[in-house]
Formats: sequence, C-alpha cells, structure tokens
Amino acid sequence: MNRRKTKPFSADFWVKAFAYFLIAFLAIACLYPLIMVLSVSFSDNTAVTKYGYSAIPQDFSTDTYLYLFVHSGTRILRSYAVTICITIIGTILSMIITSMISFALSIRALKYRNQIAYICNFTIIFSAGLIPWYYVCTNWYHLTDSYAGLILPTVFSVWSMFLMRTYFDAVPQSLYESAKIDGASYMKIYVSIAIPLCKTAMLTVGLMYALGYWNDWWNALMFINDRDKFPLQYFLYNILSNVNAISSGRVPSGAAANIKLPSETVKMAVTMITIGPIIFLYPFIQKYFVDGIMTGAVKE
Amino acid sequence: MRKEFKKNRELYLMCVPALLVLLAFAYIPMAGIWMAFTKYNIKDGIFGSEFVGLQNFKYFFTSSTGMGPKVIKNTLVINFWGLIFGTILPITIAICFNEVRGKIFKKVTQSAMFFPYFLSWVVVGAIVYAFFSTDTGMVNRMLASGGHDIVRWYAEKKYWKPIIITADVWKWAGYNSIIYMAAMTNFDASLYDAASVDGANRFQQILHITLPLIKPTVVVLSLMSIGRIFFGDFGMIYGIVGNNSLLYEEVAVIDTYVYSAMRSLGFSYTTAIGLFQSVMGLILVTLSNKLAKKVNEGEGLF
Amino acid sequence: MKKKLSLLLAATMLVSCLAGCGGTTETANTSSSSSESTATTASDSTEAAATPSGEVSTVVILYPGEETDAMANFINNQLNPRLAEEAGIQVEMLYKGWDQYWDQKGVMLAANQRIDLYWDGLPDLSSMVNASQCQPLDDLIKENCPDMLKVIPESQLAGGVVNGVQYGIPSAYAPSSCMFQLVCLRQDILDAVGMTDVKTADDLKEYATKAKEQFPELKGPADIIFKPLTRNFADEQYTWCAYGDSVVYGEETKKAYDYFETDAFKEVAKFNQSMYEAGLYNDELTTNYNERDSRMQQGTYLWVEGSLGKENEIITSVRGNAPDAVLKSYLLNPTADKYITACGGEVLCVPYSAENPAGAMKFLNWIYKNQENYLFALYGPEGENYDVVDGRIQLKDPAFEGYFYEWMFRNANYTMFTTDISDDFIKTYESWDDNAKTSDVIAFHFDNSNVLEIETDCNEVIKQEFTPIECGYVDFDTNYPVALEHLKAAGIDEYVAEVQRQLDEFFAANGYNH
Repeated sequence: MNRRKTKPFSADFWVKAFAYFLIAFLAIACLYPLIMVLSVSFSDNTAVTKYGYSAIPQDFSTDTYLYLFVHSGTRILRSYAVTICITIIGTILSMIITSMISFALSIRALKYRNQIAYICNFTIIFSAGLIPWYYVCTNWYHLTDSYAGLILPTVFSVWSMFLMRTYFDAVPQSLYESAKIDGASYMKIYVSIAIPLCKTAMLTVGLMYALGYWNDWWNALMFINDRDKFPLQYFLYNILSNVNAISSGRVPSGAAANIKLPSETVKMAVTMITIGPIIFLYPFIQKYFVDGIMTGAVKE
Repeated sequence: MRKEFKKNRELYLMCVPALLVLLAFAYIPMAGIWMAFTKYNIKDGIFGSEFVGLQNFKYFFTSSTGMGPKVIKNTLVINFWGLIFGTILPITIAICFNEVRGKIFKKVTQSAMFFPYFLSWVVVGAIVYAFFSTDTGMVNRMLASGGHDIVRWYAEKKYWKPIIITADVWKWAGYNSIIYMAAMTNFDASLYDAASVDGANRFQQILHITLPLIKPTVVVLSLMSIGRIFFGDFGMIYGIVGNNSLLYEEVAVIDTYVYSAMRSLGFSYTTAIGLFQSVMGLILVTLSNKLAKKVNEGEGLF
Repeated sequence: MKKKLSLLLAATMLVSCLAGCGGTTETANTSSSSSESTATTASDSTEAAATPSGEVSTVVILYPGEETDAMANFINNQLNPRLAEEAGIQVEMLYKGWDQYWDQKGVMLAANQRIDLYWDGLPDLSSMVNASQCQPLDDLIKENCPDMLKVIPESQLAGGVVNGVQYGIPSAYAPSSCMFQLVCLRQDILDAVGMTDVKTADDLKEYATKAKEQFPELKGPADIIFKPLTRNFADEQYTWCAYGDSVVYGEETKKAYDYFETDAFKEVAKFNQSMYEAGLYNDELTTNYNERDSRMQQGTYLWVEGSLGKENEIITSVRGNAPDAVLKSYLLNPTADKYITACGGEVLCVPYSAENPAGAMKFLNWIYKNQENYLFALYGPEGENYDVVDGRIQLKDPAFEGYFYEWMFRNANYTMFTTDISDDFIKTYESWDDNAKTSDVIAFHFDNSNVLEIETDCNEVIKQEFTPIECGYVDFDTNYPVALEHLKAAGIDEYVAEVQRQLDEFFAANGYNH
C-alpha cells in the first residue's frame, strides 16, 4: 500500500490528527478506569474506603486475591473449566446455526426471506416475560442443573444473525451464480465461497458469541443449583451479589448485619479475575482485525 | 409456494435449526402474554386466572403520581441519545482506526477500548462513584484544587441522564466499533485509490465512500435498537444510581419503575407493561423499517 | 510454522478443556454417588434402628446466601445421617444469592418448582399469602411438631396467623422489644469526647459535634435513625403496621395514623435538617440510605439504628476496619414504655408446590427438639468447631460462621452465647423484655389487596418527596406542604382508613376492648 505523504495542515493532516487524538483520548478514557480497578484490587480495603479509588495502589497488598482463592479453593478452577467448555461448545454450535440462517437470508432470490427475518426480529421485541420462559425451560425442557441449560437458551441470537447477514450481503451474489451454474449446491457455496470471503465477519460474530457465553451468569442463576456446574461468572456474581442485595434494602436487618460484605477491593479483584484470561487471549485474535484494517480491504 | 420450497429447499432447511430454537425459547413461552390480561395468581396458573381485559394497563398510565408517562419519557430520552451517540462514536472510532498507523499503538488502544465491555454495571457504578462522590471523588478534587465550588453530584438529578448516557456509550464503544471495522474490511480498496487519483482528500473519501458503504450495517443495527427503544436497561440504572431517591425522578426507566414500584402489584401488571413496551417497539420498528427501505435501496431489516 | 503452532495450541486447549469437562462430570458423579451411598447407609441404619418410618424422604429447603464447602460437608456427612436416623428425612439445600433471592423465590414458586420449606421476612407474610406462596400449616404442625410447640409458644405462633389460618412459623423467638429503636454507637469515641450517656436527640447531636471536632477524619453518623428519633419525639409508642413506612398505630390512643402527618415525623425531619445544616451528616445518608449497615461496618461512622444485640452482630466487621472499636446500644427516651412489636422478623413457610410438607415440619421439629439438636444445627457437633465452657460457646476458630443461620432459627429457650459476648449484655438480654408491654398489633397483618394501587402511588410519593424531607436533606418548610398535597392526592387518607378498618376487625375478632 502506498504511503502517501501528508502535506502539513492539509485536510488529510487534520483528519489524521483528529484520528490520533480521538483514539488516544478514548484509549485513555477506557484505560484509566481499568488501571483504577487493577490498583484497587491490590490495595488495602481500609485505605480505599477512607480515601476512595486511585490509580496507584494504596498500601499495596495481595490479601484480596489470597482471600478469594482461599475462599473459593479449587472451585474457581472448576468454574473456569466449565466456562471454557461451555464457551467453546456453545460458540461452535451458535456459529453453525447462525451462519446457516444468515447465509440463507442473504440470498436475494429466496422468496420468503423477509418473512423469516420478520419472524426472527419479532422475538427481539416481544417476549412473554420471565415466568412463562422459566416455566417452559424447567418443566418441559428439563434444563435444571444441566449443561444444556447453559447453552441452549442463548444458542441463537437474532441480533448476531442480522449482523452476520449484513456481512454476507456485502458479498457479490454473482459469485454464487457462477458457482451454481457449475452445479454447486447452496451448502457447498456456503462452505467454500461465502464463509471464506467473510473471515473477519465470522471472527467478529464468533467473538461476540464467545464473549456472551463467557460473561453469562443469567442462565446459571436460573438453572444451575449444583455448585460443581457453576460457570465462572455466576460464581463471581455470587460473591458480589451481597452488595446489590444490601443497597436494594430488601434484606431484613437481622440478616443484613450478618452478610459478609465484599469489600471494594474484592469487587475489583473479582472483575480482574473475569477479565484476566481475555487479556491474554485477545491479542491473538486481535491481529485479524488490525491487519484487516491496516491493509485496507483484505480479500483472502 | 410449494414450488418455492422445492426450488430453494436447501436454503430453507438451513434456517430450520435457528427457527426451532426460536420456537422453543421465544414463541412457546410467548403464550404467557395472556398473563397481561388476567389477574394472575400461582394457584390458578396462567390460563386459569380471572380475565380482566385491559385493566392491568390502566394503572400505569393513570396513577395519580404520573410516574407512568414520566418513566416512558426517561426511557425514550436515555435510549434515543444512547442510540445516536452509540452509533456515531463507534463509527468514528472505526474510521479513525483506519487512519492511524503503528501496530503497537493500534493493538494497545484497541484492547483498551474493548475492556469497558467486560465491566459489570456494578463495577461501572463503583467507577462513576470514584469520579463523582462528594468528598473523595476525582471530579470534586479537581474542582477544589482549581478553586471552584464542589458539586454534590449524587444529590443533583439534572446531571444524571448525561452521565448515564455517557457511561452507556463508553461501555459499548469499543465493542461496537469492532462491528464496523469488520464491515470495513470488505470495502473495495480500489475505490479509495480511484478517488485519491481524482484528487479527493481523505476527509472527502470518508464522506463519500466509507459512510455510504457502511450504511447497511448502521441501518440494521439501528433498527434492532429501535425495536427495543421502550426497554430500559435495568442493570445499568441500578448499577450506576442504585436506589437514590434524590435522582429517582430523572433516571427511573420503565423497567426499574415496574420492578421497584409495581412488583407488589403482581406479575400480571408487570407482564402488561412488558407487552406495552413490546407493542410500541413493534410499531416503531415497522415504521422505521419502511423508512429505512427508502433510504437504503429497498433493504431494510425485514 | 505459525499456523502449526496455533493449531497445536488450539488442540492442547481443546484436549485440556475436554479433560476439564470430563473431570467436572466425574466429580459430579462422585459427589452424587457419595450422597447416594450416605443415603443408603442412612436408610440401612434407619431400618436397623427400626424407626417408625422405614424410608427416608427428602426435604428441599430454599436458602439465602452462598453454599460453602463447610456447609455442604456438614449437611451431607453430619446432619443428614442424623436426620435420617432420628426423623426419617434428609435435607437438600437450594441456595440463591441475596441479591436474587426474592426474585428467584417468586419465579420458582410461580413455576411450581419443588420447594418444601423457605424463609422470608415476617412483615411480608400477608402479601405472600395473597400471592398463594404459602400453604396452611395448622394440621401439619399438629401432626408433626409436638416438640417445637414446647419452645415456640402460642403467642409467638400467632404472628404467623393470617385470617385465622397459620400460614407460617415465626422462627425467631427472642427478646425483641424496642425493635429498631436502639442507637448502636461507637462507645470508644463517646468515651474519647468525654460523654457518658445518650438519652435524647440533643445528646446525639452533641456527640456528633464533639466527635467531628476531635476526629475530623471520621464521617459522622451512618444513619438518619428515623425510628429511634420517632421514639424520642413522639408522646406515645408508634408501631408501624402496614407496608412501608406510611401508617403507624398509636399504642395509647389506639388509632392508626399517617406517619408523615404526625408531629413526631415533623420533629424528626427538622432534627435531621439541623444535622445537615451543621455539617454533621454525610450526603450518603440520603442518597444511599439502605447502605447504612455497610457504612457502619467501614469503621469511620458514628452510629446506626439497631435492635437488641446489634453491637454483637456487627462488631467483627467494624473491628476489621477499626481495631479499637467498641460498640454499645442506647435507647433514646429510656423512661418511655418498651413495646414488643412483632413476633420476631423471620418466618418459615411451605409453598403449595411442596412435595414433602410433613418432612419440612419434621425438620423444624427436630431442630427444636432439644438444645443439643439446636446447637448441632447451628454450630455442628460439640467438640468439633466449639466447646461448651461454663454454659457459653467457645469457638475454636473465631472466624467460624456457623452452619444454619442463627438469626433465622434463634430461640430464647436454647440460645447459648459465644464467649466474646460480655456478661453485661447477657444480663440485659435476659431481662430485656421484663417490663415490656405487648403491642396491640403484634399479630396484625395488613392485607393490602384492596388498596394495592393506592399503596403503590403513596410509596412513589414517599420515595421521591418524603425521603429527602425525612432525611433532612431538603428544607422542611418549603417542601413539606407540597409533598403532603401529593400524598393526599395519592390517596393516603383512604389507605389509612382501610388500615383502621382492618384493625377494628382484628381487634373485634381477638377480643380487644377499645
């Protein structure tokens, strides 16, 4: 790609300057709170309650992490394992189901594509509410205390489907036509033309599903009672749930005084434990995005 | 119709797994919407409870406190501005990423911008508190050292819609920008080259090539958000503001109001309001979809 | 090369995940099979011991909080064998975190999930009955709980009666007069500022002012203590008797009143306003009112509202942040009458979806059979986590939190204090209710089904307009008339009238002569 020389104070220069400024500013706006979280997690709780949060740890101590790992023991490792399994299996399943329907709906020649799209979109807008959904899931589908309960209810996200469809839409349909003339079935076109052309898109939506599974605690709250099956987020959520309970005022005073309140530092440490693995994995995935953008439009 | 199914049987079959999931987890439970029209109680169950027609809806709109219309307004305002800025900022970020160089710079900044997504609203609330708390908050400390009066943020309700909208946009900016960046990888590089040969500067290229090409993505995402514009983000409000009575009037959205105030009224009331939110969302999204088709060469959400 | 590396990495991750998955399922199988074998052994021993019921039934208990390894171990290996042998049941705990406890309870009961026993707050009993969340227990108690009735008297059980039917068992039976009317404050700071006693609101103000001068790093009171202050300013005992804070019953005038129109409320509001104006109150007392206990536990605040024993409940957390803290509870207006206003604060109920209601009752009966069972359920077998020394419990590990919650099952007949409780307190505790009067409305449960919408409207006005006034955050004279107007428009008069009507019915049915 040619590196154009930007003339000083030309329109190009201002665009570049603005871009650098914005990115840097936003990165700091996002990084600074993160550094605060990290530093509080390594601070002494009494100091934090007295002086508030700061970017530099106050009375540096690893007590919080020790407490968390001691308190949870090997359970945290087990919940990591559960979450990793669920994320991988769930993402693969979700991607297969979603990409198939997204591809199908991106074909202009499909007569009822708008109707099917409507049926899907309808479910984003309308929902019967918690009780009917919960009733059906537990009494009819028997999802209680099952790993299926952590995957199936959210395996298909209409939002992701529409997103993926816009990526598929960008592929020129003429490519499909020529393949059809050569006698290829739609499945074959889907596998060998559409998906390879939308690698970045696949990665993006795959990442979103994976993050969805990784961060999910709602399904666990609803369906999982057996501690051995707790995913990571639910496990950590339980630690923090006392905080929310007290501020809502519903906990009776007899119990409230006995609830072990997680300190500020515990809240932050829990957050870091959640983000931890992602921080390590993300740079690997990221290169696809950064590369793709850097060279303009990469068609592989 | 038979012919169509025969011709494209394969494609329709590809839709089946997803539709089955929707059937099981969305459409079958939807029968429970009937609760909105009855006086539901556990013993009689969903379909055995007494039918009361539209009575469950009346309270929300006609209560003497006028909270119903007020929370509708709050919900719409917060969601509307959240949608506007939550679209403009990620697109801007995606475009700007295209303009900057430096592998490490891009890697670090992109990771940084992605992280707020991982923070739960409780933690975001704690961070907002760290900034805006009256005695130890960073903003007040800066104001004080600059010689200005401190502001008792958590007692002044007028600041909180902007704060909440900002927090919402900030949390999702990085995540959403990736969607647009992925879309932009499919843009034909030759268009840009041709344009620069014709003498267009970078800004003009963005305006006339990038933005039009990204329109379909924007339309789809916006339409989906419009469908949910009557739904407030319960976790967000509770995480950031909690149960603060001084700020309540400005930040209460339909979902928090229904949860805190109307919960004692029973599940029928809450289902009824959920139905109202859904119907309004459906009307809006249908209208917007028609509009979008005009703007987007006949391609809308559905 | 890079491709091969990433492939290898992915393959390794996948294998380790599958191993992890497999491990999880295996462990799950092992734990369930071990509990099964416990059950088999238990039923074996049951048959061997020839107890009347040859089989062991399960009791599913919905329990707030988090499951701990210690508790799981206790239930499976210590409690269940004993229960199987002595009562023919075994217990299965279903934990839901505090934040979601009530929502989950509502959803699970609405979806007919099997729960045999659950806990909730006693003041909510009436709405739970209206929502069909609990079934009548009269017969079940008669058949299964002969021992429990010996330690939970009729007067206590009456607290769980709604419309003449026993819907729940008020399980916290202990001296409880002046509930929420005590002020639990930092005694060490009181000593440091040279004060010896706190009897009135002005004493508190003096305390706060002196503390602020001498200890500027402290943040003042943690709580606007409106209930103790109401006791201080009112001429008669006001007992809250409906939902929320809106209606009080005057014990001497024998009538129901709108709390926000009483003179006592006006005094409370004005006092709190003066505290704000003197810079003694922190903003958060208003903006984060519900977090008063957590503020107190931070160790930088002066006082919080409480009931008997509050200082013992929070002292460990407070000392965690302020190691020299000493807490003591004071009663404002100490010469006024003391009233017992409720049959404890907890209630245990059995929902309609229960499959083993008799088993649930048997469990309660077992706990209350004798002190040994009671202490076993709360602290485990004697000698393991604690020793009994001079009639007190000496914990081997001071951080030991116990098993079943003490505050949930507290019973004055069986309570044994830990060694860190002072003798003074025990003396106070034992004579606490001695001269106390029983409130007329102790067993009264207001049924709000006729006035649901009015109640919601009033609560909205109270939340938005009266809370800031009550906390003293906004000026009383300018805001009160407007707020009162809105409250009237919301229908407070009708609401109070309904309360009065139900009170009259209640008194007539129970033979009170007014």
